[in-house]
Amino acid sequence: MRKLLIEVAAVITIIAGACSQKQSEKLVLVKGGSFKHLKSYYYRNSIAIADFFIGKYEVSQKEWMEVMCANPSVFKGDNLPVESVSWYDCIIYCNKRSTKEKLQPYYNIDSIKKDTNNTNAPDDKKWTVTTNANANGYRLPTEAEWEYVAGGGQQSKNYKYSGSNNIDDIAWYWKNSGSSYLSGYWSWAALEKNNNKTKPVGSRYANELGVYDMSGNVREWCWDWDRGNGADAPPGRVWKGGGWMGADFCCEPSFRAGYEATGRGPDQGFRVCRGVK
Amino acid sequence: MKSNTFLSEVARRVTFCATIMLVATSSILSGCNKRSVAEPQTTTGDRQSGFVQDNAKPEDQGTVNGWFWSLYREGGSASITHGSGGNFAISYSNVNDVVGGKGWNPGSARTVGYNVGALSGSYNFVGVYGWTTSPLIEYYVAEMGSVTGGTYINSISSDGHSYSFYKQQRVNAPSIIGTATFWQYKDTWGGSSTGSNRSINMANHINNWRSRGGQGFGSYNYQILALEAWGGKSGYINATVW
Repeated sequence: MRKLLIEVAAVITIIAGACSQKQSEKLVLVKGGSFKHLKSYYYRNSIAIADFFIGKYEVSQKEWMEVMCANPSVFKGDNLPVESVSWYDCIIYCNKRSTKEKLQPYYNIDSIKKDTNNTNAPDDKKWTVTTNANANGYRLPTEAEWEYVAGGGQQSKNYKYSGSNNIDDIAWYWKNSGSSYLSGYWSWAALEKNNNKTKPVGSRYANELGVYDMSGNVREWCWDWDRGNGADAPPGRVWKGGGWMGADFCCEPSFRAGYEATGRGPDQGFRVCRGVK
Repeated sequence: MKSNTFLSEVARRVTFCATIMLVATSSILSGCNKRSVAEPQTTTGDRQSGFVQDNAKPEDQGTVNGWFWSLYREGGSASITHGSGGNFAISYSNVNDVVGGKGWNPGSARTVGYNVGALSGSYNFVGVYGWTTSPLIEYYVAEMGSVTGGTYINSISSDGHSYSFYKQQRVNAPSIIGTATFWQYKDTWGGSSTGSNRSINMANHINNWRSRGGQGFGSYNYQILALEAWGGKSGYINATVW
């Protein structure tokens, strides 16, 4: 009996250790502070980032399937980043994953009450989404948090892209994500026939914080609004980092653009983060 | 330049069939009304993604003597040669799609000078093509042929003639920043001719887009003088841009 108890205890220890290791493998603890990257929009800004966890990788299709049970991605593969996910899809994913892992859901999602501040015509949902600031569940990074990590945080070396001045070292983008290396100017026709697509997460070099694919592969949703400039530039949600389809300038950490929250594209994915509780 | 959406394969094939029927109809009509000069071919509405040939590929792209240039082809054959400065020549035969041109990166509100020394066969568009970001805008100024589709906004006078400004929203479409919802601005004149020096005062177009486009104007990306032809066309252009 004593031997059996010892063996059971050993198994529990191994399982607990494995779970702990899995957690540390998937999330990176980001030490907060003020922005060090000289080209950041937030440099010399009074904003200081608190400590938080962020996904080492973009959310993979395997991770998505474990929570959502259906894979919307155009390019299929367990270790490829999930794509073709809307901002709303990602909010739901965060809450479902939190619940699954017995964490407190970070978002309050009201799919009935229309957000009156959302005047984006193509967005036919306009859900009202608010946050539980003290919840310890998964969430999208804010734009500032995302840019802080992409710029290397406190360890920033002021690279042009996230982790290097040479984009081909760290990013999958329009020139290198297909059968042949493209040059000249961006042309969708050229990309389409060159079989450009997503690549396995973490298959380029990491940045200063050990985080992969902050430049390229898929664009990443952030929490923030992108407020338009004029009647025909409606508000959307911010994405960062550029993807396999976009030009190299999109891969610079300071580049920002918006997309309607219902927008889905084969280059649109995300990564999760969590507060330190 | 080709406007693509993520159509289903079925939709692609339907579009292709419709294109074939349109081209066949155009051929029949042109056969009944023969013209010896180059003929711009117009389609009704916006051009969508067609069926893509397996042998399509980016032909050549790069920089020569400081000029930014590219040639893309689907089906048939095409080649580009470079003269001095901004001169280039493209010959193409039986192409599903050919897009080629020469220009600048980044673009600007410059006055684009050009001379189309020779233009034969058939084509859809010759003019200025470019992108801006923040906001994302894809723009055309058609000097020969036309760009169609969208909503008519107004007309502007520039360089001695009148252009019609159309704008069209693309939803979930491929773009230089990735999949996006954005506006195309299309200014069409179409009355240019070969063998003379011409100019396009881009500032006039951009000022009108800025004031009437409803979203300001963005940061310049590339800007080229380009030719596009699709639907089995053959032809030749020799042009110089400055």
